[in-house]
Amino acid sequence: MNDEWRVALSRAVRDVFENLCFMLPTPTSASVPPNPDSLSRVVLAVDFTGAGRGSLHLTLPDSMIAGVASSMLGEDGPLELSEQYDAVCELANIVCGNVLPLIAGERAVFDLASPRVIATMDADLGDLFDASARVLMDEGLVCAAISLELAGAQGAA
Amino acid sequence: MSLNVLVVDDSPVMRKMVIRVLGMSGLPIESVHEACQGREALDVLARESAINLGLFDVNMPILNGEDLVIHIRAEPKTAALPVVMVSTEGSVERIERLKRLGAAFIRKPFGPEALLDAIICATGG
Repeated sequence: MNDEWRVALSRAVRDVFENLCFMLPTPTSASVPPNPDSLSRVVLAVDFTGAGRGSLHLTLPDSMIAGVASSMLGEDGPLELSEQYDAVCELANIVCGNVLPLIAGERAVFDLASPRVIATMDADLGDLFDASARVLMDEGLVCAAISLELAGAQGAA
Repeated sequence: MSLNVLVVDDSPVMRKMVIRVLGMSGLPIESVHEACQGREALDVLARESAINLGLFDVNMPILNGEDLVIHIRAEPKTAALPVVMVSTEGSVERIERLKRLGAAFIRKPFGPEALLDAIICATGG
């Protein structure tokens, strides 16, 4: 696992959830993270090409989706399920767009594919990725993982 | 001066979010028009002559945001339209290209203050 990339992932997740959803990480000493294997989760994937080729996966509990979507859209009432999933797909897209410059540098140009839902339960991102990060919010545990093969010898920004 | 805004993004959710943040910016908004890609945006611009600000996504099908700005600058009627490009992906190269096209840039996620700054940059104050 690449520790610099893990830090970049964690920062991107925190920034995006704070700015888009007004959700803040729980202080690490406040509680013990729930076991993600015990939750039904949704896994969102964003593939990308350009200065590097790879994929970012964002995993969050099903129970968070409605709240995340409502916060993003500023809606008090219930949203259609399709709108909820569209919202979290955009969230994954934005996390990906924010983490890539942190990893590959500000000059690296990437093309992001449309985000997609690839699993809705018990997905294990495990060791398949180059780096992963977990950010605990009051609303649940968010996991991000990235696989990335850089085209050139570009370092972190 | 009131703003008549064209918001272009292939994601309905992102259009909704951009319009929400725009509403929080404190700017006087008279009307908001929407399009889901560049070709549709050109149709809206041809139809709605009052539009005086564009907020465009970069990555879109059929006609992307960068090509949309090129079309707009080539058309005398819309050549001076202030444009803010809104994107998740903001490499320095892309931002420089957009600046050369006379467009401001803002990276998602953004709040009302950052959007206001970008609009001021695009409109020249």
